[in-house]
Amino acid sequence: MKRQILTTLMIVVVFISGCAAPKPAPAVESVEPEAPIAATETLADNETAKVDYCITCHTDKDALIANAKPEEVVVEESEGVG
Amino acid sequence: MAPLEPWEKVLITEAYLNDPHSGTSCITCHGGQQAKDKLTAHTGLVRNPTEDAEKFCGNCHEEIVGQYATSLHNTLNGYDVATFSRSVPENHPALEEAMNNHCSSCHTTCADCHISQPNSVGGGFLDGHAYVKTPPMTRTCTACHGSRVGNEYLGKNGEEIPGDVHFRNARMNCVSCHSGENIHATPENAVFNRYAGAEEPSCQKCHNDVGASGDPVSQHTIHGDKVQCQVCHSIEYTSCDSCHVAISEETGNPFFKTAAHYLGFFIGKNPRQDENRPYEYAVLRHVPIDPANYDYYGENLLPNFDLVNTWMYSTPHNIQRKTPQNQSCNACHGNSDLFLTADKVKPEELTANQGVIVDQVPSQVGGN
Repeated sequence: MKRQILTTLMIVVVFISGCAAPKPAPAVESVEPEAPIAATETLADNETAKVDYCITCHTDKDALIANAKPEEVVVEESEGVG
Repeated sequence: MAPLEPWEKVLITEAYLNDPHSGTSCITCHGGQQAKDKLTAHTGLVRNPTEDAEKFCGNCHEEIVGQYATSLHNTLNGYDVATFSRSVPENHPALEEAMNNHCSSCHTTCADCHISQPNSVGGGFLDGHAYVKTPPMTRTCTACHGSRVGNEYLGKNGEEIPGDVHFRNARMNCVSCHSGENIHATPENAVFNRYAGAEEPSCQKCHNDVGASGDPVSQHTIHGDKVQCQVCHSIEYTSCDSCHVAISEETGNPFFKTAAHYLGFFIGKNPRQDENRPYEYAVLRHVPIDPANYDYYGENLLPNFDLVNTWMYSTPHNIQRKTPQNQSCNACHGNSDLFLTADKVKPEELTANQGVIVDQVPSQVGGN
């Protein structure tokens, strides 16, 4: 009898556990986009080729501010709606 | 949106670094060279490589680039046809020079919609050089199509003139009706005029019960194909008069001067009546042209000015369910204020517009 009850209990436990919420998937390490390589004076010549100066400068707000040409003030000569 | 700061216009952000296009090196598309200092790095720089769409975009987006070759956004054929039709072949070189100086800046490349905003709103990246699949309406579409379509659609023509119901009530944007396919590809029979060929987009595409059996609005059935939808459902819109162009002696820059710019509502005879637009009546907009528009480039460059109407077929983007003219039958019938009658046309343009002027305003109907 005890054995019968134990078996029934085990079946119920197994059945209920099937309805449980799925375990969250194991956290996958988020892959950070490759950070732009900073241009530094210490880079050896053979490493220079790996540096993307375009991205380095154009992702650097301060560098862009420092290098920005002052915008020309355009005298508006047109009149009326275009 | 406020204009971007100079640095902000060229700031590459995380959005681009996560964009599939960032897998290609900058130099592959933009030229220039890898160098620490700006001057060297920018030597040989190509600002907008998508000017050559076939080379830089066509490898992956072959179908779109192929279709875009004849798109009106690319060719601007509408300007050429409208201008040359009023001229003669020997004047075409001078007119081409004028149009290159004054009109070609409207030519649109892939990047002009998907990477940057146009110069008319200050230029600069839309999203840190990431490719924006659906261009944002006010930073791209209405930045160019602003003074007429944009102002009408967004309700910027004054407090008394509401914006389009599709915008006010449904917040629909341009691509809700003008699909990417429509914008990239101009149908073969419309490559010289956007109003040639099938109506695209058409109101009926969504409102397919209009005029069908069971339509509770009897006016839809009564008017059928006699009037363009906008005749009953649009309100005051913008017209312009001349657009004189020249090169500034002071700065060497091209400039224009448009004369009158005014709001009004004008029902005329349909100048494009065919199987696609069978309407007898359509709303007409005066386009910015007069015989002296291009006088800076030569004398009498539009000798056949009278061959083409100056009041053109139009589709104002300010649709309303209820309008002053659809309140009752006689709000429109017999109401000469609404119609383009001869007295509303400049005397020197009467010949050009004889085909669209309404001689006899539809008479009032009994019982209102």
